[in-house]
Order: sequence, then C-alpha cells, then structure tokens
Amino acid sequence: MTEGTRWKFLVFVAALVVLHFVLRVGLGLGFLAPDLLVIALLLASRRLRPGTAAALGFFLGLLEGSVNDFVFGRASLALALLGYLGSRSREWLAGDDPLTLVAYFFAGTLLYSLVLFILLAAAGAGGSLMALLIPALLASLYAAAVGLGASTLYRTLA
Amino acid sequence: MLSLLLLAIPPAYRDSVGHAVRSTVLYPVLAMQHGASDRAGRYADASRLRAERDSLASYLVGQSNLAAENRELRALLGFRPRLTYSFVPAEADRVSGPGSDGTLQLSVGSGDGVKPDAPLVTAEGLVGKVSRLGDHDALAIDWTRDGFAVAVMTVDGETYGIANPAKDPHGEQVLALTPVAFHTVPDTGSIVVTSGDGGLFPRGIPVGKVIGQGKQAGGWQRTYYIRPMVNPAQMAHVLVLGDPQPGRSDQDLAAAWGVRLMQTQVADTTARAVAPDAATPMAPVRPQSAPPAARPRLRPRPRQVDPTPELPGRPVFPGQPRVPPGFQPPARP
Repeated sequence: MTEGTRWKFLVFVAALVVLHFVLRVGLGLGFLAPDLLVIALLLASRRLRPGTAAALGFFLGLLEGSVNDFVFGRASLALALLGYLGSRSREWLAGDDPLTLVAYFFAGTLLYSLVLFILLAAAGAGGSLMALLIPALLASLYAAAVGLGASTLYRTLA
Repeated sequence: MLSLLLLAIPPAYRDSVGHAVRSTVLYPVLAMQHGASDRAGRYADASRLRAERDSLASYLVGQSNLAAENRELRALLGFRPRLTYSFVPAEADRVSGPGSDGTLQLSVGSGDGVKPDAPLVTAEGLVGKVSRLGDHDALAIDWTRDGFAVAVMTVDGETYGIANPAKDPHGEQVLALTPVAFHTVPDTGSIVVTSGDGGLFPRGIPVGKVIGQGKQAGGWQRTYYIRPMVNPAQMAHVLVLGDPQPGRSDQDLAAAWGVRLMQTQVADTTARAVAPDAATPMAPVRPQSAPPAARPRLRPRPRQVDPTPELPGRPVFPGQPRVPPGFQPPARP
C-alpha cells in the first residue's frame, strides 16, 4: 500500500468511512454491509505513526459510538487500540501481498470484535462467547474479502 | 487516554458529545437514514395494505361461492321431492388439464347406485351424463363437451332434433338444435326439453331455451341455438338420475321442473306426422265426451274432539278449540 499520493490515500480512506455509514446507517443495511470502518483504519494505520493511527481510531470510534450509543466510548477505545497495533504491525508484518492483506484484515477485524466484546462484557453486556465467535468470524471473513477488494481497487485507481 | 475518558464521563455529557457528532459530521447520514426508513415504512405499509386487500378479496370471493353454493343446495332440496326418478346426489368438481374441457369428477360411483351413462340434472335442468364409472367416483361430461348430444324437443311437441355444443355468432357457448325441418319454426324463448328418443335421457328434462336461428344447415333444414338452462358455473352439486320410482303414477319428468308438455294439445297433427324429425309417435286423441256428473259432496264427518287433550297419546287438532264450548268436564271424585 505504498502506491499513490498522500491525498489520494486520504480520500480513499475517507470514502471508505463515508461508505460505511451510508451503508450501515443511511441505508439501514446493518451487518449486511461490511465493516468498512475497521478496514479503513487498518489500511490507514499501515501508513501512519502509532499515535496518529490511535487518534484516527479514536475519532472513528467516536463516530461509531455516536450512532450506536451502546458502544459509545468502547468503540473509540477498541479502534484506537486497533489503530495503534495496526501501525506497529509494520514491524513484523511486511509486504502487501494479497494473502498478507487478507490475514491482516481478518485478524484486525476479529481483534476489534474481541476487544469490543471484552469491553462490553466488563460492563455486563457482552453475552456469551459463542454468540460472539461465529458472527465475529463471519464478519472478519467478510471484511477480509472486502478489504482485499478495496485495496485492489485503490491500487488500480492510484 | 481520551478513549478511557470517554468511557468515564457521565452519561449526560456522553449524550451531549454524541448529539454533537450526530448533528454535525453524521447529519447527512442520519438524514439519509430517516429518508430510507420513511421509504421502507411506506413500502411496508403498501405491502401490508395489499396483503389485507388480498385477504379481504379472497374472503369475499369465498363468501360469494358459499352463497351460490347455498342457493344451489336450497334449489336441489326443494327439487328432490318433485322428482319421480330415483337419484343420487353428487358433488361435481371440474377436471382441469389439457383436453378435459367439459369434464366433471363426480363424488359417487357404481357403489352408490350410479349407472353407466346416467343423466346429470340440477334444479335448473340437464347438466350432462356419466361417461366413466368407478366404484365410488365417476367422470361425467357436461353439455359443453365436444361430442355431447341429446335428443330434444320443444314443449309444444312441434320441433324435434339433436342438440350439440356450439358457439353462437357472439362466441357464447350454447347448444345447436339441428336438424330442424325447414317448415318448423320454434318460437324464440320456447323451452326445449329432452325428448326421450334413444333411451339415454328420460323425456322431459329441461335443456334450454331457443335464442334464435343459427346458420343454415343446408337443404331443407335449419339450425337453432339453445341457451342451456344450466350454466357451467352452476354444476357444483348435481343429481345423478336413476330409474323411475315404482308406484309413482306421474312419470313425466318435466313436471318436476314445472314444465308442462303440450304435445297432446297440438292441433295440427298432420304436420307432425309428416315432419322428418317427428320421431315420437303421437298419442291417440281421445274423443271428447261429456264430463261425468259431479258426485254429490258428502257431508264432512264430525270430528271427535277429546275433551282431555292434556293426556298423553290423545290427538289434538290444531286450529280448533281444545275443549268444545259449553263442555263441562266431569267433577273428579
């Protein structure tokens, strides 16, 4: 993900974020739409420093928490943590080949779900782990496929 | 740290922050959400209203079928005692599928007393005949089926012929009465009944009414259209005719439908004799003789009225006083 200029990449990430809210909130698709917010953060954090990536995660989590009061604050924390780890992942996960990207998106989305589940469970609203795992696995696979497609599209356009 | 701060702030502040984000950055998205939910609500309402309308329509259609069925059954109930033939009531379902036009599935068969080629009638008139007989079911053909034929005559006995399914110039499914002798002109609206020729259909079952002349059959014959008495939609309940009931002196089936055959009152018997379609011989005309003298009316016998009708087993005559006027019951000891 080193191709393209900085502003092109910024527009691309912003488009993913806007598309996430349009699909999930504006059109009411809910979980039928992929979690483009996490994909955008994971893509951006590969280019940002850990602090900036965490700040971006915080901002995106604030947006997510604004439309879903249930995860307000927790989404910010989870996404900030995810952005930080995503930025640090460059140290031990090199390369942008499709398999790496798929694994990166899959692991990132699953981690976000797990952190959010732990934060919700700490507040007494997490539910059972099995009720989390199967939807989280499916959502992670979905996000990985869409993230790979989005990366490919960006490479083509940039 | 900021994230932890967000988790730690009181709910009132949290709501304020969330509201600020929703009313600024996410405002277009939330406006889009409202529009989408409104559209979804409108579509959902339309679907629900359509479903309710369809349910109501289907309910009304079911009710109309029930009403029609009720009318048919009432008519059959009043019609049964007038029939001088034995019969088996049956339900008739129209058979669907290619090549099955005019075919009915009957709910009775030979095990119920139905005989081969038995006629089907309703309170309106002739329906058709049994074509294939099973033990407890049967297939029948109605008058719309190609190949159906019935020997008919007008009630005045002037016109005889064979009625076959046909379509009139307007495309309406009717029966065609043919061949009719050229000099014989049945009146429009005159009732056509089965003539009994051939022995398949008993004499006197109403078939239809003459509605007009059809295309020329050629030569010295005419064709007339008959609108059948029984509409194909009225064939859900039928009576399968059997043999004449023994002991019933009146074997004229036409009377069961309130139709009076006037064949014996035909004045021009010569024309009847030479008509090529006069298959039924004339009944001999009896000489008119003086009516017998009226028998003197007998005085009605006085009816015994029981003064103690309250006792069980004693007759009570309705419309009459239970105790004759002036009667004093005996004093009981």
